[in-house]
Amino acid sequence: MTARLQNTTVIRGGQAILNGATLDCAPGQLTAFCGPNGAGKTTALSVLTGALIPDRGEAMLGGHPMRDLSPLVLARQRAVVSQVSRLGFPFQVHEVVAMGRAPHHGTSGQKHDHGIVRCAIQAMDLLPLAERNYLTLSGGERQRTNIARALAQIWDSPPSGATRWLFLDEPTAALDLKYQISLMRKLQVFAKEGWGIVAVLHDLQLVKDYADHVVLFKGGGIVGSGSASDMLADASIHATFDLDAPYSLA
Amino acid sequence: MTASDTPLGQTEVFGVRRAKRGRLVLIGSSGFAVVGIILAVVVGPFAISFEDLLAVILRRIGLIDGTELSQVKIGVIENIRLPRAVLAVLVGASLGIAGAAMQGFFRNPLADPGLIGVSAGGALAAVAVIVLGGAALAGFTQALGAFALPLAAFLGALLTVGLIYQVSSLEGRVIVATMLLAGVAANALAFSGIGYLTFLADDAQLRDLTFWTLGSLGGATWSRVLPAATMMIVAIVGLLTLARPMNSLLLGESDASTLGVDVERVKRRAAILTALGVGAATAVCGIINFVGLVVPHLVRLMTGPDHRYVLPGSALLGAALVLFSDLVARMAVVPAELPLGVVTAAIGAPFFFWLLLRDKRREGLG
Repeated sequence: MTARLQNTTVIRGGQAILNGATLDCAPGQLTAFCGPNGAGKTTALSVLTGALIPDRGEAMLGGHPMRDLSPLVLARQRAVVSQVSRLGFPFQVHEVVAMGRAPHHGTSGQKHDHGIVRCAIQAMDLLPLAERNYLTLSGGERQRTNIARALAQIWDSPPSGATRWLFLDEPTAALDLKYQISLMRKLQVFAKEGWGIVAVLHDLQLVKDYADHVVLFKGGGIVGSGSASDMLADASIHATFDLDAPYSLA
Repeated sequence: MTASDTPLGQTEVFGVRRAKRGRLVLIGSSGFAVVGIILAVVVGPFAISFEDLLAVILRRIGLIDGTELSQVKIGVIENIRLPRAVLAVLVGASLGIAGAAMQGFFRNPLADPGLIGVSAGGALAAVAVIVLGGAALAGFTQALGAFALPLAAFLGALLTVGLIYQVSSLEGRVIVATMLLAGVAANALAFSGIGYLTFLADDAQLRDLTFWTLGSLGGATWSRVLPAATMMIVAIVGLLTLARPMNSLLLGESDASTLGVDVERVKRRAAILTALGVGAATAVCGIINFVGLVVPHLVRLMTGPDHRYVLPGSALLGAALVLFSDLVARMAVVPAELPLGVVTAAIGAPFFFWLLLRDKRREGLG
């Protein structure tokens, strides 16, 4: 049961920022969206998460059209880490992470939720910061907090047995090298457990080292999709990013 | 065993101190409010003791026959002081919780129903009903009876909330400076309307209008309090149920919707219930500024921003603040009375300055 875009077009200001994109992301895999700025990666991700309704075509999750899934059912099986966080109130880190449990309110016990919040905090190495004010954190620490919130949201398998999906938009952008690598490793582990993971990533070295599947975007369309080694061949990168100098990954 | 199914044996819970403080704040504010109610009944030019109050309550519920109580005492307690205290509780609770909800709705701690013109919008509509109720709006007042005034104020307040939100929000984000400036404009517009209607008013209506701009709990009787009280209770209870989705909303609208929150529905409800509370409060006692600003701030300073504490805490502390402010208003210049709005503004305006200074030192507005 995949996450799928079918011939999806999104028009903004008279321009197709995503133009007839069709793609499949498989569960159990870490899929990376790569491509130049403005290529349509974030737009494609937003349609996949259900945040954006496309002007044409549609998104499917686990075989269901996105519009048939109620927001709550969706929230119990897929989590989203967005590029920017708009939180402007002084919550403590554990409170922010606990907000990820909101869709389970009433169906999950309080003690169970506390346990999950703790696991998610541990997974993002936030234990020493658990009672810190979110607004006093650095960009990278905030990012780890938001990822922990998303993990807490889908930590349990849904009762339906549906695949859990984690969508991340540039999750490594604010992270230092150590946490970039540690995050990618963790995403790999979650993928091995059967989660479907889709991330917009700019660091091609990380993509090459950790992604199972790569989708290349350019100018609102998909120009390639396949294994990391195929998609990240020198010639392919050169063409996708319009580089004017030779480039090659380690 | 897999990484995401780690056993959940750990029982240490984070934020225990904050949660404990949150409960303490709720208990403490309730205590303040109860003391406030007792003082509101006992203190005044006509001497009444705590025992008198107890006896009147026990007599009412039929536990004693209370023959030793004078009719005058019973009358003063039951028909003058108690309705005023009940009104103070409801008005304070409504304004406090409405302020907290509006700050969540606008995702900004400076959004106060008075500051952004919501109270004034409600007041304008209420004044229109008073002045034009016999003429242009006769149908409206006849159809709704005692509810005409608070309902009109509700509609005026709701219209203002909608207007300010439309003007100051862009793709789900609120621009704070625009919100405050739009509030200045809304206030100016509403007061120009009130001023115009004041010119049209006859002498009897003028006496009714004098208390609008400064706010007062004077003249509270059960029959006047009841319609607005029902609306305020609906607003308070309704807003309390929004605590969880409003927490999610603080993450931003798109993040909240990925958590399964129906953002538009929560926003609509919050706006309607806030307008209901502010409108009803304004209809019975005029414009009372700053309660909605000061109270949620104080509560948040003590409990943190979790709406499960901020909303009930603001209702309780708001009730206490208005009870004590009204006490000051009644006793400061005996035998005359200060308008309640004068007292709350004297407390609230310096507090607002302090907030602005603090925010400037931190990072500036917005």
